[in-house]
Amino acid sequence: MTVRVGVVVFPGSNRDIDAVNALQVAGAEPVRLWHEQASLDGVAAVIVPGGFAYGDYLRAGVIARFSPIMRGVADFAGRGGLVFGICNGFQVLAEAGLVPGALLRNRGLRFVCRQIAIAPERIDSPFTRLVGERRPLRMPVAHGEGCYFADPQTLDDLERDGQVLFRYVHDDGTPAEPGDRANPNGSLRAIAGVSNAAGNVAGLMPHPETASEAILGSDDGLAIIRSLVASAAERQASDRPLEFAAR
Amino acid sequence: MMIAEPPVADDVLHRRLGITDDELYAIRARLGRDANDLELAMFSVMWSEHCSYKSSRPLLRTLPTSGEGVVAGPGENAGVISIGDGLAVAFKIESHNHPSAVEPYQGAATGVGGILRDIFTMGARPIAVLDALRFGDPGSARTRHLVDGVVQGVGGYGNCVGVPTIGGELVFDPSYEGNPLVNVMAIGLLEERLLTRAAAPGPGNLVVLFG
Repeated sequence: MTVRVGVVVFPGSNRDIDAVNALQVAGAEPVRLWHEQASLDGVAAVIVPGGFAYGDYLRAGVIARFSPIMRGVADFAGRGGLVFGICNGFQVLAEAGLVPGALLRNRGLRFVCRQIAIAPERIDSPFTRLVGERRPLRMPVAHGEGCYFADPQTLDDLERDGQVLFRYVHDDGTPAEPGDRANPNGSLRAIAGVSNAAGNVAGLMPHPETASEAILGSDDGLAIIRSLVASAAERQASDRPLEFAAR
Repeated sequence: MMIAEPPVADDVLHRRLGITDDELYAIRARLGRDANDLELAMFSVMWSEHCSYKSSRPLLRTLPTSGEGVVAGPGENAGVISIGDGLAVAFKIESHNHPSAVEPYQGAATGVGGILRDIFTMGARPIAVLDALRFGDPGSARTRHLVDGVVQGVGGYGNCVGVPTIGGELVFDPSYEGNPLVNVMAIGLLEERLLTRAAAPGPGNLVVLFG
């Protein structure tokens, strides 16, 4: 049975179509979830895609967190459901408190859109299990507010608890510190992606879904999408209750 | 009917609004009376170069508009050319010069917004933006202000709808010191069978006003 994975669509989402495409390439059935609904339609995992939810005029993700669909996503996450926020989706999850830290304005104060490299810190998470080895993965970033920030104690805790999923890296795989060109936004400790303490909710600033086919310039991101799909398939096959009654 | 000679003082309203004496005659002839101040202001906007291309139209007419692959030509929101396999590209270029001279970021951004609108109203999905820019002396503070705002405005609007600026051209020349030229082009992809035309003839059609 094909695994059904939800893709949240806010007014202003613009990478939802890329997420849908990547899920299809990875063999899943994408299910678009409109922002006005609180039900997740029984999907086995959810992607919160990139874009500018509700225009992001005030601060990225700050309005989207109050949407009906985010009530459903928070409930789903609280029950152990897999949630993956990409770019604006990461910002939304951070504003909603579903992943730790905050995404500040890029250190260079400019929107950055270019190919970068990240390396997985963990290859045993639901989002990285099929990456295979700790190698640099090439994919694009496209954001103005992607500078990962948390206080030093929180950063230490994240490192200790294995919640740092991805770091920006140089070509040789070493972490790119704030100020290095390979760190596109000045993220502290080169953090590009994190998970919550339980490990079922993750956010990532770069775009694995737009690096999902060789014709797009890189298919390094597909292993991340495939990891999500494989993890979702296991959960769909199990008896774990994934749907909820929130309306 | 008799049409009186227009007043000759430089500060008469129509001249202050940028309407020539000949255009004032033409307006009177159309209305059969003098235009009131509000009507004059409306004519000054609608007959401006920005809105009507009155100076560049004769030149635009010299460009080719027909051919084997042309699916939609002049009169539609954008030109559409068939590229085979049931697919077509929609494209259009538009200037947003004076708005960008007044407020470079928003002037350029709304230029992109306008050109994207012309693409998706044809039933196409915008996939790329290009820009062709002309500015004055690159050493002047005003030019730096304009370049910075215009480039950010083009990119900023495109980013919000997920459409990249894939190329363009840039020329600095003192003749553009007063008014920069900000041209943006959008390209869209569509299935030919989904082509939407601007005309909706026939009775019973619903009219919906947005915005």
